[in-house]
Amino acid sequence: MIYLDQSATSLHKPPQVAEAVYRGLTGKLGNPGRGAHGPARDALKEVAQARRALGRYFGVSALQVAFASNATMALNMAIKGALGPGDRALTTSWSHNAMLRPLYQLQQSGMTLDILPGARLSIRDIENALKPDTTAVVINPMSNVSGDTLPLDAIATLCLKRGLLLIADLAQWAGVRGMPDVAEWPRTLLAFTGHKSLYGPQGTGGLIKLGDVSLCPVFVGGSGIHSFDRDHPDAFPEVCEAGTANVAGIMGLAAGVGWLMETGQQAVTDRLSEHRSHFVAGLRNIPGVTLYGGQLEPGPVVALNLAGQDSAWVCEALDRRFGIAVRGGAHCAPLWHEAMGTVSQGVVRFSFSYFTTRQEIDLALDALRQLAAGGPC
Amino acid sequence: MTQALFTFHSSHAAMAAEICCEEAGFSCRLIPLPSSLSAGCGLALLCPREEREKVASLLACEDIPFESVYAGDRTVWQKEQA
Repeated sequence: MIYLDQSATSLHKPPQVAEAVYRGLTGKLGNPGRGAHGPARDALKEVAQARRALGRYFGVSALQVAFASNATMALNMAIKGALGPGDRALTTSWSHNAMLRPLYQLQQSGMTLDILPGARLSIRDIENALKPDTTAVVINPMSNVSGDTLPLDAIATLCLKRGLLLIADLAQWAGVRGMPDVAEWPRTLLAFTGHKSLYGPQGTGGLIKLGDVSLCPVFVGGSGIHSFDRDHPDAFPEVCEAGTANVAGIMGLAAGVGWLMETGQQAVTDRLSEHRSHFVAGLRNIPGVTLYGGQLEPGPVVALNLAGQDSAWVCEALDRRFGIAVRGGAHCAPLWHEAMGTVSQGVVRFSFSYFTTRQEIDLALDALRQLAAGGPC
Repeated sequence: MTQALFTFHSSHAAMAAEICCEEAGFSCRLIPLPSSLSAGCGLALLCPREEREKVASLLACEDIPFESVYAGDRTVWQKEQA
């Protein structure tokens, strides 16, 4: 089987990820922050070490990192915890439903929402779309469908200049592109997932807080501290971490990030760029291929269609006839599909991992060539 | 008054403090918060009194907030100015 669906989740992970998860499940760790005995302290220490590893990767201190189950949960905590009826937020057509749906919920309760339309975006478009009373920019800097990117650093500078809160969805960015230096960034909340290009287990992710951002807790409950208070603690990271942590998963995530730092972000980025370039070059010789986006310093993602064929059938044929796993249909980014005119056809998305081989890419190109030559799937 | 005890608002901060101190070579360890004291977190960092200032400086340097600092021994603790 050839797996080319990294943007959904990483299938192949460094072996130390599974080893770390196993270590977390072998009877030595208690509940972190719930009690002071050895197993509880050992679990807390594992979580603290993981927090430091994530902090080092993102260039922040350990206590600026809160763990969550995934980027969706982190984005819900960021958007609903930081914004409210008095705010005016700007987002774009690249936004995933993980951002759009919480924003729509807030819109229903009185927040003003502006959405920058169009599939090809630039920093100038974002700047021009800001209103005098805009308070936040909520952005996905790497499209999960086309891989196109926006300049994260420039957006942060713009937000700093205008005094805006920045909320960014790094689900696709983290592990694919290096993090800019965040030392001079504005008030910012960065949501990340663990299971894509940070190579951690599913069910991991988190939120990073920069600067003085006031967050209301979205989930409340046990925190291990201030037990007699009626309200959940509002200090970070506790404000985002109600209930028992996924300790084994977090240990796996730390191992994934450790591997990434050992390998080197630039080496990973370069290999992913080579994968994409090789694939796109091969597509040029296949008749009937339509490519979508991919002009804006794209990540390792390619969106395409074969003539007028339903993207779902193309994916089914790739899976059944060639053993190639890619995703078709809609990709949880409805406004992107509207902008690209692919609402009914969907798109076939190929996405590459550090562990993808050149041979696998060539086999995928050959499969597409056969499908293109053979008529409807 | 042979020991110093740092208390914390959160267990995350307490553990981050212990890790930093271990790496810096201080002989600190986390203990359950003594019943006579009140703090947000049920863990406290115990260290020799002579290391108090260095530990406080390290925590400040590492952006690890602590709640209070006490001087004392196993049964009697006196709050000090942080």
